[in-house]
Formats: sequence, structure tokens, C-alpha cells
Amino acid sequence: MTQTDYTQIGPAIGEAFPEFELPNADGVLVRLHDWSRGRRALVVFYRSAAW
Amino acid sequence: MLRQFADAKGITFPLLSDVGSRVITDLGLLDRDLAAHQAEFGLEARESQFGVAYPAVFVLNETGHVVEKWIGENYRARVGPLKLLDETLGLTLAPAGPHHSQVGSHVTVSATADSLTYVRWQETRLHVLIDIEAGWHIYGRPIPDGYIPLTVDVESVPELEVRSPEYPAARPFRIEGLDDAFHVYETRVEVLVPFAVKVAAGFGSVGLKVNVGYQTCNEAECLPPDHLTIELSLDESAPA
Repeated sequence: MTQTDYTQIGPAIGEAFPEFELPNADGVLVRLHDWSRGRRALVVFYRSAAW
Repeated sequence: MLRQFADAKGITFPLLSDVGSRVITDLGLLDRDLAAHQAEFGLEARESQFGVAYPAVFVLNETGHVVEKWIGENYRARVGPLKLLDETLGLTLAPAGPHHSQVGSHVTVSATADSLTYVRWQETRLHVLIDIEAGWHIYGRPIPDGYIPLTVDVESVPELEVRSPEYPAARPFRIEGLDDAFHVYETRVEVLVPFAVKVAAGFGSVGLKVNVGYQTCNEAECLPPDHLTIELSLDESAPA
């Protein structure tokens, strides 16, 4: 039905996850690697808190 | 709004907001199939929904490298927590679901689902556990023609989307006097059957009928092939 190859999208296994900076629930900017700082992490993409 | 959501759900880990989907797009995760996927459920995508990412989970190690990833095709078709933890972190938690068993020839077969209830469209699993009496074994694959390997089949009904069962590797086995290669299961074997319940809201209980075929043998003899059926039902989960 759709042509997207889902195995190829997003950062690949073995790749360094790109750094990004986004505001948290309190409006404070969070940088991924600063936040995880030598710990393992789970990055979860969820749809929306509104729907 | 994220603060209200976090407080309401008791979430203590960071929730980040990607207004404009800049990071989502830069990472290549923008869901460009949203309209098509919504159409599969007979829905029209709303303007406010565009910009959403594919449902995705990345597991990063201590140096920030991706060690596991899971990408969902359709944001409505999520993965249940036990299945996700098992597949991304290798963390196996005991299934909580209804537990039904049947006794056969020198085996006891039981079936239980990941949870007591189903969440519509959520990928979850059935665990079919076969306990085999000491001194006996059942055949697995690969197997020469004419012998009956373990088969687990969940009957196909409109409300279930059932995937192929996952059989663990069986132990190679030689029978004296025969050249063929046999494979057997002994003591205990667990077969996982991934499935999802695809129904409209308010559908109620869904039944699963599991057929298990096997052949029990010991060193001296093979018993005739046998099969057992286990039925269980899952209730619809309350809306979140």
C-alpha cells in the first residue's frame, strides 16, 4: 500500500544518534547527549499529548 | 500542555516538544504515510495530525550509539509493552494473561497472552508452552517426511491478525539405524505467536483458538501423533 522502506528510516544501528535540543514540559531546553551523559537511553517518538 | 500530560500520567522522564517537527524531519522520521494509514482505518487525517513521526523507539548505549531500533509503520498499530521490551532490550517479563492448559500424551500444553486484556491494533503475543515429561521428547523441524513436528496454529478469524509462530531451535537427534537427521524438543518449549486484535471500539471480548499438533516419542517407541485445542479469550481494555 505504501512504498516506504521502514527498515531504512531514522538513525541506523551502530550510528551515533544525532544530537538535538528541544524544550521539555517546563519549557527548559534539553540536549540529548548532555542529558544522557554516559548512561544508556531510550528515545521514543510518540504522536501527541493532545490526541 | 506536556506538563499536564506528564502529571496526569505520572511520567518523570523528559517529554520533549518538537513544534514544527524540525527534529523529526531532520532525523528522517516524519510520517509521510499518515493519510494513507488513516485511510486504512476508514479515517481522514486531520490537519493537526500532520507533522507526527512514525512511532519509533531507539535504544542507545553509554556512548550514544544506536544498539536497537524499532519503527512502527502505522501510529495506530503500536507494539505491546512486553513484546517491545523483549525485542529491543531482551528483557523477558512473564506474561500476565489468561492461562489455559490441556494434558496430552506425556505433555501438558498451556497458552497465555502477554496481558489480560487487548488494546485494539496493538501487537502482542500468545505464549504456547509445552511441558514434556522426562524421558520423552517431541519432534521439531527440520524433520524427515512422515514424521510430525510441533505445530502451533491460531485459528484465523476476522478480528485477529495473526503472524507466523516463532519456534525455538530444536536439538539435533540421531536415531540408531536411521540416516535421517531429526530434531527434538525436551522438557519445555515455548512458541510465541505474535498477533493483533483489529476491531472497532466497543467490540468486547475476543476469542483465540489455538491448535497444537505434536508427536511424542521416547527411546523405545513413538506414540501416534496427537493434537490439542486451547481456547482463551481477552477482554477489551478500558480506554487510557
